[in-house]
Amino acid sequence: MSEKIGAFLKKNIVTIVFTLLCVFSIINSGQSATFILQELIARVSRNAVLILSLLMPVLCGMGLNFSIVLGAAAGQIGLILITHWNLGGLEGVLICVGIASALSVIFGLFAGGIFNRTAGQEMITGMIIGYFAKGIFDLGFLKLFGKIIPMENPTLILTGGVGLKNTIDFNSGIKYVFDKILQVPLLDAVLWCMLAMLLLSVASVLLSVFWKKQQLQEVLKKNSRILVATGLLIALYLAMLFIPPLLKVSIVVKVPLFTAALIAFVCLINAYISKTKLGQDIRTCGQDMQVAAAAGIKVARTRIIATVISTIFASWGQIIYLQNMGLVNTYTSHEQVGMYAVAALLVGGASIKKATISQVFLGALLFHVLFFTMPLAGLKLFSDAQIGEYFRVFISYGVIAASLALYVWNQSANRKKSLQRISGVK
Amino acid sequence: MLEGKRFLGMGLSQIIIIIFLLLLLVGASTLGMDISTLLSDSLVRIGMNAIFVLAMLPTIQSGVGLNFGLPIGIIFGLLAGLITVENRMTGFSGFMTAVLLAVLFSVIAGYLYGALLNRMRGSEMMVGNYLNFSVISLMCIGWMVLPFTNGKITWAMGSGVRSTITLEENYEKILDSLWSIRIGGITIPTGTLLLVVVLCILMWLFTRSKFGIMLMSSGGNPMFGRSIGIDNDRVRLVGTMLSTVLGAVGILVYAQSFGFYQLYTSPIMMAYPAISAILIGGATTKRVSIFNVVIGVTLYQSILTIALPVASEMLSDSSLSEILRTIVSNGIILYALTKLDGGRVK
Repeated sequence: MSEKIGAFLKKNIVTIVFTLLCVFSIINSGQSATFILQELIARVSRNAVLILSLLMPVLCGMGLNFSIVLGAAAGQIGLILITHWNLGGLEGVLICVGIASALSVIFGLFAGGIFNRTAGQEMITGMIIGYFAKGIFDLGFLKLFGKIIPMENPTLILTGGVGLKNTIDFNSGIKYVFDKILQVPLLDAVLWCMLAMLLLSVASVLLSVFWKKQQLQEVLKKNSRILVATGLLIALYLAMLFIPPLLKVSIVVKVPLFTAALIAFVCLINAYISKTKLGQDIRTCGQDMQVAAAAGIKVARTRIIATVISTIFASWGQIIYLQNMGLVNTYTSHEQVGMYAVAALLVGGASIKKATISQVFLGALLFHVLFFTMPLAGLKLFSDAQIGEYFRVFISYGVIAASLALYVWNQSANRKKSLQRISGVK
Repeated sequence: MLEGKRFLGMGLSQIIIIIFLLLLLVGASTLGMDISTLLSDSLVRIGMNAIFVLAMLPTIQSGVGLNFGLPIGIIFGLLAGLITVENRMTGFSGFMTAVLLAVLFSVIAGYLYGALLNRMRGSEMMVGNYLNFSVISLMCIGWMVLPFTNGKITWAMGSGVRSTITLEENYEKILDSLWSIRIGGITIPTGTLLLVVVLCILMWLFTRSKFGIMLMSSGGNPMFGRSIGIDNDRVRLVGTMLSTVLGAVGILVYAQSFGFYQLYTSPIMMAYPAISAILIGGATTKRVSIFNVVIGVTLYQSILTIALPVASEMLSDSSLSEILRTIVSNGIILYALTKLDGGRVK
């Protein structure tokens, strides 16, 4: 038993340490539950897709894709263009998504091509690609717009007539375009989710029992996960209804349900792709490139496709992120996207070789709670917000360093163990 | 970087860069820019950065690869430097005290860093890089809480040390101005360049010593190294420690020439120019010589100090140089990474 606990601790050490840090930080931030929950929902919903975009390359054995910076920049370019054309609303955003996806394909091909020449060092390469691309984008934003791409728009262009401004405010048609479509109190959101899940589970049980003529017990066993989730949601809803402080919070806090639906949609695409032939190929490449090549899979092509998918998702993620922010820092918004997404995913318990959708959400939750409570806690504990600010930067870098180091360390320990087993030497 | 025919020990890419530089100088003179200032600037910058580039040599030779964790050494050099400023040490003795302290700190730091990297075979670059980021950001908190009291280095209000600390009253340009001479309008920072030359010669002698040969044969082929009885881990440890020490001494030399200690996040990117420089000099992640170091730092820093002002002058825009620096520096690293052994997927 104690061995099991030890193994569990060892496996989830990063997540556990982070949970403790989060609890400590929330208690010391001195903020109300309403504020923390509202911030948390806003942050998780705007970051989730960016983190989701990391999953495909991990599955493909390429590690954590730091080059999603390119996708983020593509999303940003799309948003800047529709701001310039003064488009708004859903059709404007659709055009933006189209432009961003097209650009992402090009950027993804570029990054994937380079990854295919640097197998084994994709992560450091991805990071350098990010830095390199930042230089190119800066050059483009500063020199192309207004000079080569004609753009006469005093709200976007610097006074000299060339180059984009540092901060660009979106018009009211783009700001919160997803978030404001279906914004409901948390209570209603939980109710709707509960009803949907209830409908889903009842339908699937009834379908299997009456149509496929399966035994009820077997069906319940097979659907146990979805049933447990439904049960938890019902319990949560009842708790919110009947415990007054929870009720108060859950009426005040708003949930952007449409954005949540978008995130669910990206999750579904991701899950769907991994079930197809392409998904199988990607998985095989991730396990062993030589075996994959021997089985007739075009490894280089598969790796490029995984990178392109990741880049496209990242561009969507950045659009969701920025519509929630309401403005874009032209030269810096995309800069740190890769690092924060990677750190969040690792906090959720993912490794270089394995990452799941649930780790995405757990990681987003823990990382972003810490991210906004830390400076507040720092202010209260040291009467200096700057220390908390530095600490959260340290945390983001440190978690990446620690997870990487732990992973490599365990791997070499395992290799040693299996060598000993083969040779019979202790 | 390019294999094939060599001229005076230089590959094709180096020769192209030299021709490019000469063309740039011609261009600069037709634009009416002061050539001697450009050359003086590049000499100063070569002296400032050479030791960082030299620091890449031992890690590549011992098989660790490019040392992305160079700022770990730098941060301990800064700590040593700050201690001397705190105690109002000036002149040559102050600088030497800083160097000795820096060596002391960085030997310990380098030992720990090297021991960690020994368990990170194959991922040294990534782990080194993120360890660097973590250490620098942790030291940001360190700079805020360390008990420095000298008013020259602490903020007038609040806690912590200043983000830039001037060395004007301590040892600014102590090496640069040592035996400094002017030839036809070009100022030569003799002391700094001499120190660089001495360090290069010492390094060269080291690689010719018994341990140096062990280092290179183990780094070049660890299996071969082990089969002839070399302790690879020890060799890698020594290589990493040497690199860290050179990083720590390098920042002191850099700062005396620059005139300031820059703290907080400014050292975080300092490994990249050094890496680009050594790669431009013809080194790979596996093979390197002193010659690569010298030619690399000379070419890289000359490009930055000559090409960027010329480009700004031609396009009449000064905001470009930082962007161009990013593109050039990272483009070179990217190019070198694509040349890694066994990295090709078909």
